[in-house]
Order: sequence, then C-alpha cells, then structure tokens
Amino acid sequence: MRVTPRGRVLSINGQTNYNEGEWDALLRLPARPLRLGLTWSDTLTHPTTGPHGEGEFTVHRTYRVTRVLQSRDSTGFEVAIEGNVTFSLSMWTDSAAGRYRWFELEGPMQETFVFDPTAGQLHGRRWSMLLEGIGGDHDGVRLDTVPAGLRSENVRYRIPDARADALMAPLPGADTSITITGDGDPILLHTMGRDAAILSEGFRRPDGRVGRAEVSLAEGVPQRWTFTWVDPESDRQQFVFERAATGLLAQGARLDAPTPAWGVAEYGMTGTLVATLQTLSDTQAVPFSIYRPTAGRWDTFELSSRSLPELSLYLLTDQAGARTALIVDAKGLLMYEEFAGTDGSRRIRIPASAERQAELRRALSSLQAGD
Amino acid sequence: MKRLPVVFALQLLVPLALHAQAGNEYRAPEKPLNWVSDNPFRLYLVRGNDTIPGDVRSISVFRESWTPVREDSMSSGFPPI
Repeated sequence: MRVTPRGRVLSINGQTNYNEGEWDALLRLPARPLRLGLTWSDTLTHPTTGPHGEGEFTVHRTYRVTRVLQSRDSTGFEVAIEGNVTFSLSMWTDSAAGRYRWFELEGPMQETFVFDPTAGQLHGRRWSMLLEGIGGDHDGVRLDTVPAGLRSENVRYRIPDARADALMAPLPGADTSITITGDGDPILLHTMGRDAAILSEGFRRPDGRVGRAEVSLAEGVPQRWTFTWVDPESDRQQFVFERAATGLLAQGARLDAPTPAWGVAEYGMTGTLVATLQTLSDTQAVPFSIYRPTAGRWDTFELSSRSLPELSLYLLTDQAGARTALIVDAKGLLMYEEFAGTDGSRRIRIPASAERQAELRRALSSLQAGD
Repeated sequence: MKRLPVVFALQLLVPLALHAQAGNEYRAPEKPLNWVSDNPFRLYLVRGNDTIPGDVRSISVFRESWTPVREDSMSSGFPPI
C-alpha cells in the first residue's frame, strides 16, 4: 500500500483500481491540528467486481474528536465517525454452473478510533455497519430478488511481538487436515508430524487460538508432553507433563489416572494420542482415560482397537455414549477422525491434500470390503 | 459458515514527514506493528422465514511494516485530502 501522511490509500499492490484489499486501512486525518470537537468529513469509493457486473463500495463519513486521552507517556485523540454506506457486490456460488449471488445494500456505519499524535499511529479501531436492501441468486438461467442485508462488526487492536510471532509461526508437521461439521463447514485446522523421537501436532481454531503439542518418544512410548497455547487476546501458556514409574507428573506433582491405560491430549487434538494408542494391544472395550491439560481433568472412555497391516482402528466411547473413531496410517499419523455425539452432532477430520484424501478413500474402501 | 483464521504481512509506504504538523499525520514507526482484526459478520438473503447463510467470524493476524519514501517519489495525479 502507498499511503499519504493523512491516511489516504493511494495504491494497493501498485494498482489504483485494485478490487480487493483495504482502501480504508487507515482513517483519514484532517489538514488542521486535532483538538476536541474538531469535525471533518470524507468520501471513500472503490469498485467491486463479480459475475453480476461491476459494483461499488462507497462510504460518506463525518469525523468528530470526542475525547482527548492523556496518559503519562502519550496523548490520544478519540475520534467518532458516523457515516452512510452503499455497497453493491456479487460472487460466484457455483461458477461451473453459472450460479451467483448478488447484493445491493445501503445503511449506516459507526466507527471509533484512537490516534496517537506522538507516534503518528492508530492505537485501535472499532466499526460496525448495518446495511439493508435487496439481493438474490442467479441459478444459471433466472435471477430472483429478495430482501437482503449485511450486519458486520470489526475490532482491531495491536498485540506484542512475541504473541504475534507465536500466532503467525507455522504449525508443526507437514501432514495437514481439517475438521468439518456435518454441514460441511470447516471449523478446525490441524497439522501433524512424526519421527522416531518426536510426535508433533498443531491446531488452529476459528477464534484465532493456536495450539501446539510435542510428544517425546522412547522406542515409541511417550515420555514427555509439551502443550503450548496462544490466542489473539492472551500470551503464550505452556503445560509440561512427564511419564514416571508412578504415572503422570505435572511440574513434579503426580496426577493419578483413573484407569491403567491412559494418555494425554487436549480437546480437538486427538493426534497427540496416537503414539499412546499404538502401545496398546488390540482390545475390546477396555477402560481408557485422557488427561486434558487446559481443563485439568481426566475424561474416561471405553477403548476398542484393531490393527491391520496398513492401518489401525480405534474407537473411543465416552460415558455418555458419544463415539470417536480413529484411523491411523502405517506411518503413525492420524488419517481420519469421526465424532458422533449422542445429540446427533457429527464432526469429521479429513486430510487436506487430494493425495492424502485418495489414501483415505482407499483405506475406507478396503475396510468396507472387509479386507 | 466459519472461516479459519489467516495471517499475513502488509507493507505501507508513507511519504517522509518533511513538514510534519504535529498531531495530524501518520509516521512510519521504527519497527513493524502487529494487529489483530476480529470481524464477525452476516451477509444474508431473506427467503420466506429463513435468513441464509449463517454467521461468519473472520479473524486475521497481520504485521504492518512501514517504509517512509520521499514525497517527490510519490505517484502523481491524486489531489491532497
């Protein structure tokens, strides 16, 4: 982005008519020095493109300095914006079939931001808009028109370097999978990797929270678990556990497992359990417990397992009857997970890559064929 | 429909504040700024008693790197605001 000192975005990726990107990345500042009660206005317009033709986003905004915020180190000007938005856009819903959705909307927006004149930077900003109008679907032949709208809020805040580094660092392991709901919506992103000494798993949630697990192995048996969490609103949190002759240790304190067979894994990070499950013999419905580091509790299950030449199958049934089925491949990576709740809810974890999905299909076919 | 969070980097070029008027100009900070953007939204159609599709929450983590550039190197053709 090329920007002026007063916050106008001149170009994005070298283009003045770029259809994506944030033309309002910065709030506009007036030519006059900021002071309490000062007002100014601006208009921002940029094009949108889509299958329904060229559209446009336009906002007329009136700014007003509402507060002067003094701290020991700096002064901030709080500015409130009232504006009106018109927004027309369209997007493909099935480009192969020529289907798309379109919108023509209008309505109010409000925004608040704080500008630090000493640093010459925004401290944070918050906006909302409530647009109403018309829209519809084009089914490849006909276009229809129905009431439509956009309700949107945005909060932006700065975070420290260490937290940003932790949030932006790549997840461990090259094997990527996603968890999708029964409606097909992706809700979780997972990664997993493994060698003789370390099993690692990464996890990203829709709320921005990022989890990492590392399991140290000795001849395939987990010896030490390290779980690290970070989210946009809080700094890194770490839990470390060790295997001891007496059971599981957390910072030297013993955690008594309720069953002879046990493992350690966070909710949503079942891949961390794989090494433990592989140490157990094929079995039918034995008690098994999982320690949940963040929750600080044991969950108990019945575990059934079966090993085949190219994969292993595990079924965990909790005390309420919810079932989690796992397929682990010959490399010791979690290839498939299916959760079936007692309330009818369902989630599946499947590989992200087409190659791994093909491996999974072959595995499921061979299972259905009774191989 | 929920979206998985994304991370990205952003570079902003801002003219050197040669005649800066304190209090109303952006300046390039000495080090990059890290931001979180949290954007729950619903872009919907009303069909009968249904409102479709559902809510989306989009979270982004991004790092802004600012680079001051000489004003005479700016693109021309844009009136001052």
